[in-house]
Amino acid sequence: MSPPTRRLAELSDRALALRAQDGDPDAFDVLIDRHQGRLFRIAYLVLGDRQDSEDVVQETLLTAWKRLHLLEDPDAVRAWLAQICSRRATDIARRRARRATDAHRPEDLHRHRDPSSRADPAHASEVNAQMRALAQVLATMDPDLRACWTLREIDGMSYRQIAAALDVTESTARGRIARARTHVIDYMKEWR
Amino acid sequence: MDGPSRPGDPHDDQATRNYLEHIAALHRDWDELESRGDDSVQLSRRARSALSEAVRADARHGARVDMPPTHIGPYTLTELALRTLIRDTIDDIDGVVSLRTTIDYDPGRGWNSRGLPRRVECHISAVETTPDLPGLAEQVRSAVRGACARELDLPDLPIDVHIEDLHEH
Repeated sequence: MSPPTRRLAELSDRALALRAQDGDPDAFDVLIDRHQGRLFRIAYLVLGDRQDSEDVVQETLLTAWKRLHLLEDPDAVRAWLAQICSRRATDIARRRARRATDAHRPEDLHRHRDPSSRADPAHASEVNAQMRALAQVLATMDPDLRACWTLREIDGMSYRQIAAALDVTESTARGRIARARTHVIDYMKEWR
Repeated sequence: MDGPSRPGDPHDDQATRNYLEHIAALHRDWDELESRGDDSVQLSRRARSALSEAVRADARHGARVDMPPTHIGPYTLTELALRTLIRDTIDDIDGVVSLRTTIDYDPGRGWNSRGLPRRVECHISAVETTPDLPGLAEQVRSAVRGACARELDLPDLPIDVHIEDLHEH
């Protein structure tokens, strides 16, 4: 019998990661509750689509549960989850960007998601308006810049953590974040 | 600076200040929406519930562990079952939360099998106000040894206790 959820909820990420590695699904449930919101923000700001973001967050957390025995440093569980999520979201965003520049093959026509569907009022009402506006600005940037900017400005990761999460050098991460920040600032000027 | 941007740096120009204020406001609003359980900034309840079910359905059971045979015949259990028995025993002690259990085994008879458990090491977290940590460790050792003897017919199993962390309540 696990201790009551309230008691588990008071434990550190490290303690929860250790218990989850020991096979306790209740401890992993608390980690899910603690991190799914921030993972959703990361995925949404990279992808700009609610359903895709929800899928990425679910995949991220299920992958983490399956690979938890490979996590050597339980203190790093927060950054590790962000790494899985941001890489998955960036892969999807890159694929989408490539597809957008490819000539449409007939077999793709049925599968291709119409970007205009994201402007559909019924769909738009699902997501917080501020988040949507920011995602629209970020969608005009390269997916790699989006991911760097989001991990820095939204998730609060250090340059070193971002470099490790996205498998780039620290100076590359700094450069991308600076470019992305300038881009977002320019857009914000236009809002005024 | 090695953290996210924050408003208030006097050297920032107006555009940068606007940007920083905007980002700070986003954080405040999103945190508030999330704390209210608003689905617009997090997994929907349906997705959250499906995730929990998937996690439980995909538990890693680990290798088969030999146990002392009963009068009817031999039996085994999974590493997960063994660790769960020990974890639950520790969690029943006031002021203690089990963190992780490592177990040494005799050599197994093949791939994905372990021999009899030889030694157990329990990593625990104790309430920080615990007045007598050695006494608490002894209580954990005694409870785990008792459970292994009673439930698994493994008497006198050496139990090491490592207090790895202290928590508040």
